[in-house]
Amino acid sequence: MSRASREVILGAVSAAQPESLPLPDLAALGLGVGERPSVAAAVAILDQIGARVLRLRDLNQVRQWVMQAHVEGASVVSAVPGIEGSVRLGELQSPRDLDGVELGVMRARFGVCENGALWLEESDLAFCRALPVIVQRWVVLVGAQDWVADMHEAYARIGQWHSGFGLFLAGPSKTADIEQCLVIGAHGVVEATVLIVDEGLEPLA
Amino acid sequence: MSHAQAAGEFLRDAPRTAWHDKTLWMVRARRDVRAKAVPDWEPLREAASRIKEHTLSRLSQYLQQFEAAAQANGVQVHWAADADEHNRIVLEILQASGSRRLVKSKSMLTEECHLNGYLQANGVEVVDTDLGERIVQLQNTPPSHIVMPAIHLRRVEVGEVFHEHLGTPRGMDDATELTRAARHHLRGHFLHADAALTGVNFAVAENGAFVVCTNEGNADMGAHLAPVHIACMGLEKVIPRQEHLGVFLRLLARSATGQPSTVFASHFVRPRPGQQMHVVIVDNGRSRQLAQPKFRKSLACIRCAACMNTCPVYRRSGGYSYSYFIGGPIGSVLAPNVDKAKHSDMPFASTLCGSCTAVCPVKIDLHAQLLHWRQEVVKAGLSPWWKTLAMRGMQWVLRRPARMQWAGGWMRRFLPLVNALRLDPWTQSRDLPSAPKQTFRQWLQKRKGGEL
Repeated sequence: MSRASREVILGAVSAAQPESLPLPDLAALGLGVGERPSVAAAVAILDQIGARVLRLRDLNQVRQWVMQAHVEGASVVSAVPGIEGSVRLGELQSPRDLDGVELGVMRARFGVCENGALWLEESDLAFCRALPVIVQRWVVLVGAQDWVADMHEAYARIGQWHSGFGLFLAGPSKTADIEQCLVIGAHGVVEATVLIVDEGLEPLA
Repeated sequence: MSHAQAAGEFLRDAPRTAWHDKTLWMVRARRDVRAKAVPDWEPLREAASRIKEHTLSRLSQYLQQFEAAAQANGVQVHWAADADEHNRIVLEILQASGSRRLVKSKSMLTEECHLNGYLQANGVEVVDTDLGERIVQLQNTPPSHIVMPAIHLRRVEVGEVFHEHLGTPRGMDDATELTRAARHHLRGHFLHADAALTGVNFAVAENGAFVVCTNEGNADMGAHLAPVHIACMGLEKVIPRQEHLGVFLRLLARSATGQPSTVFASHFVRPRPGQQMHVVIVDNGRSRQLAQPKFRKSLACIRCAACMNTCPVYRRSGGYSYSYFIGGPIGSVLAPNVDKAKHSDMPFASTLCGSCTAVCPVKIDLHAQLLHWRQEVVKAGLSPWWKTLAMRGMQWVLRRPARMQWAGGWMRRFLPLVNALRLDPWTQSRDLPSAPKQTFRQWLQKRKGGEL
C-alpha cells in the first residue's frame, strides 16, 4: 500500500512541479549579521530570553559552582567529564529515571550570539537526549572563545557531523499559551544558567 | 455558517474581541521589533523565498534524496497519499509496536488529517502535550490559531477546564499556577507513553535529518523518552541542504512570536539505540496545489502565523470563524484547494490590504492569491446568489451611460433609506456618508454652462 502510494505521490509531484529554478547563491545575497561574534551581545540576548549568565575563570570554578548547588540540596547529573554528579548517567536503566533530578550539567560546543542558542550534540549529553529537557534546571558550560555571530556561521561550524541527534538550546523552556502571559518552565527546565568559561576547557572531540 | 455569520458570533463578546485583537497585534509588534533588529532581514526573506521556489521546482528529487538519506540513518520512511492513509499508517506503527499510549507535540498536519479521533476510535490514548493544544483537547475543540492554539480563551476559562479535568482548585486563574498544573499532569503522560508523535518543521534532503522546533520542550520530552517516535510531515517540508536551516531558523521564531529563536530546535538524525523512528510523508492535496502556478507558492509556508497575527480580519473574527482548521490569510489560500465549495467564502474574509504579504518570511503573495481564489470561486459558480445578482445588476447599469446616469441620481435619493433601514451589512455598525446634492455630471454641466 505504502509502496504504491510512494510511486503515485512522486509521479504527481514530478508532473506538477514547474521547470527547474536555480538554487540561490546565499553568499551573493549578503546574508549574515555582518559583525564579529560578541560575547557581550550574547549575554544581552541570554538575559532577554530568561537565562542566567555567569562568567567563570576555569573548570575549577565550575566545579565549585556545581558543588555549591549540590551542597544546597540539589541532585546533580553531569555529562561533562571532570564534573561529578550525585546521579550517574551510566547507571540509569532508562532516561525516564532522570525525572526528579534537580540539576543537569552539560557543555555546549559553541553558542550563537544573535539568538543565545547553544549547540549540543548527543555525545555532549552523554548520549542521554532527554537530559536538557527532563531535569528541573540546567547549567551549560561554553568556552568564552566558542561563539559564532549568527546561524549561518553556526551551520558552517557544524558542517558534516556524525551524531544521531543535536540541538540548539536557547534558554529555559517557556510558554505563553495562556493569555500570552509568559511562563518560564513549560515541560523543560524552569531555570537555565549559562556558564561562560574563560580558559582551560579541553577541545571537544 | 458563513465566515461573516461566524465572525458575528465572535463579535458578540465585545471585550473578548477587543482583547483578541490587541493581543495578536502585540505579537505582530514584537515581530516587528525583532525583525528590525536583524540587519539582513530582507535578504533573508529573499533567500528563504528562492530556496523554497527552487525546492518546489525539484521536489520529487529532494523527496527521494531525503528518503534515501533518512533510511540510511535507520529511519523508516512511509508515504501517505491522503489523510486516511496517513492515519492508517500511524495506527499500524502503533499496533505493530504494541503502543497504546501516545503523546503528541504540535502538528498541524495531524489536525488536517483528524488523526486524534481516528486513533481514539481504535483504542489508542492520545494526549496533546503542547499546553495550548492540551487545553483545547480537554475542551474537545480544535486549535483556533496554528502557533497559539488557545488564544481565543481567557485565563478564567482555562482555570475552569483544568478544574474539571485536572482537579485544580476552582477559580485558579494565575497563568504560572495553571502552567505548573499542566506540567505536572503532562509529565506523568510523558513518563508512561509508549510512543511519541511530532511534526516536522524542516526535513533536510542532503543528510536525512529533520528539525522540530518548540518552546515548551514537549517534542523532546516525548521523542526522547518513548520507545517509538513517529514524525509526520507534509511533503513540502523538505529543504535541500543543512546550511539552509540557517536561513529558516533565523526567520521562523522572529516571525512567529518575536523571539530570536525557539527554545528548542532539535535535529533528529538517527533513532537512539533500541528506539524506532518513523517519518510519514503526506501529500493530501499538496501535489494538486503544486500543479497550480497561481497557488504553488503557498507550499513555501513555514507555518509561523505572522499573516494571521497581522490580519485585521483574523484579529477581529477569531480562528473559529473560518471553515478550515487553519484560518487567516494562509488558511484561506490553502482551504479552497482542499474543498472549493465548502471553503468558498474564505478568500473573501480579507480586506486585501496586503499586510500578510508584507510580513510573510518566505514572501508568499498571499493577498494576490486570495484575489485569484475569489476569481476561481466565482468562475466555478460558487459565489452566493445575491452577490451574483448584484454583480449582474452592476454590469447592466455600467454598460450604458444613460443607465449609469439614472442609477446615480436614484442612488442619491436612496442612500438615506439604506442607512435608516440598515439595508447593507456595512451599515449595521456605521452610516454611509450622505450623498451630495447633485451628481458629478450635473456639477460639470453647470460649470461648463450646459454643455458636456
